[in-house]
Amino acid sequence: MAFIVGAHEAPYTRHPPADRDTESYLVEAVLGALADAGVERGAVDGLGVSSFSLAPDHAIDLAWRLGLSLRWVMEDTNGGASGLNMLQHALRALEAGDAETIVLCAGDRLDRGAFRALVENYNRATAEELAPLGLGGPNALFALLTERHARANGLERSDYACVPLAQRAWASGNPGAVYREPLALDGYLAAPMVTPPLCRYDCVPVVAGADAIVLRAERGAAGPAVRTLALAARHNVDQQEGDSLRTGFADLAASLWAAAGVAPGDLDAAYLYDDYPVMVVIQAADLGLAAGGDLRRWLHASVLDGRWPLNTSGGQLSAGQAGAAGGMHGLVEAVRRLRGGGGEPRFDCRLALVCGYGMVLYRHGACHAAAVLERVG
Amino acid sequence: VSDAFSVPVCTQCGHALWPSRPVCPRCGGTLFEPRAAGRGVVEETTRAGAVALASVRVDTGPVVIARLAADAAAGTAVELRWRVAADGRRRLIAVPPA
Repeated sequence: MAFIVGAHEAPYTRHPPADRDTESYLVEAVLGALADAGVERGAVDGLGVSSFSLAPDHAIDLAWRLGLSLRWVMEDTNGGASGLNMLQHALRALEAGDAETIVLCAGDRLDRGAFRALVENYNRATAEELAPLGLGGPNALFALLTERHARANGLERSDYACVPLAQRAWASGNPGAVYREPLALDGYLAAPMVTPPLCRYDCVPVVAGADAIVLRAERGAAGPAVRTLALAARHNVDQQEGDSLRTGFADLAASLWAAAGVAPGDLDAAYLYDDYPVMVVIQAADLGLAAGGDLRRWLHASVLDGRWPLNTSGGQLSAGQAGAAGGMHGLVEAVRRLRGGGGEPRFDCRLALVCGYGMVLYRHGACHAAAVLERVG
Repeated sequence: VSDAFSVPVCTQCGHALWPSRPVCPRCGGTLFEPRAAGRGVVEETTRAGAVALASVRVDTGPVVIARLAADAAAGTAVELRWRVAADGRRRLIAVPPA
């Protein structure tokens, strides 16, 4: 068996002090997650790391600097899918007995220059074909996708707005969120355009920070734990040649729900990958969260008016995106809620969906992963 | 130096790629020959600062991301060609009819 027994987020900040580097956020997240789990540092025998800015160090360097002696180590480079990708590997390692106590962490501190270098050299296709056009990052690509999705589904800006507006309401209970003040539709519609039709509140604020979780083969006694009922992934399903209106999430949905033995209607919360509102809507459609496939009704009646628990930290759209930590932010919030924590308002959370999405190869993301998590104890 | 835009086409199955890759995703072929791809239709548009951008479906198949030389709505037929910038980097430009 394998259980998630602790989680921590090193608080996100838009303006990190000059003396704090990526490693310092990862260390804070790892030590915080161990404290949350009540697990001694010396018990850790597995470490997984995802970061765009830890170079020249790697996972084993971080292990050394944390004073960890390991039987299992991995590094993941899959951005927004890295959290669930590491979880997929860690579950197997624990079940196989390759490790007994694993810490997974992800985080970044990217200043303006480092962020620009990252988005312009994200991969070879970006450096050779996209960066010279002057895109300046993925916002423009998701603007094109949003326009395509809006046309295909008859949705408007006021429909997609339900995602950032609803998440902003949740962010008011998260002291660590970048955006916490209430946001109404008129404020959203009046916000400066970034890459039309995307405005400021459709794009994640770039922050410094890190997230970590602790997994053990045995539950231990330190409060409720979290079990992974199912985890499924699909990567590079369309060779970047499709329209991305139907994604790898649609391909994995049936096997995910069947393996978990639950249905979307059983969920107490969902942590969909929210780099852009359109991706939240696509995940909801592909994974069957919107009853009858009525996306507009789901957005307005459930997400916005019903305050259905979606990205209850405020998500990346309110809390911020700390580079590779974006792939773990929803996972950490899900674990907090499932273990009875998290910000106000609290709600009874026994079953949660967590999604990871990322790695834009040319036109859209290539990595899709989803997990159904359940509280035990 | 030619500014003509072409895409690699698999010599085995005829599949057109963009961006280029070493292996054809459809048939596994590894040999490609260039095919002229100077014509396409705008599918979506956006702006990043002063730069107008579009996704353009090339007549020969793939959808490419290009800089728009002038404003153009979805559905506009455009000419695609390379333009070499002052920094020496080439940019794919979509030119709407005058």
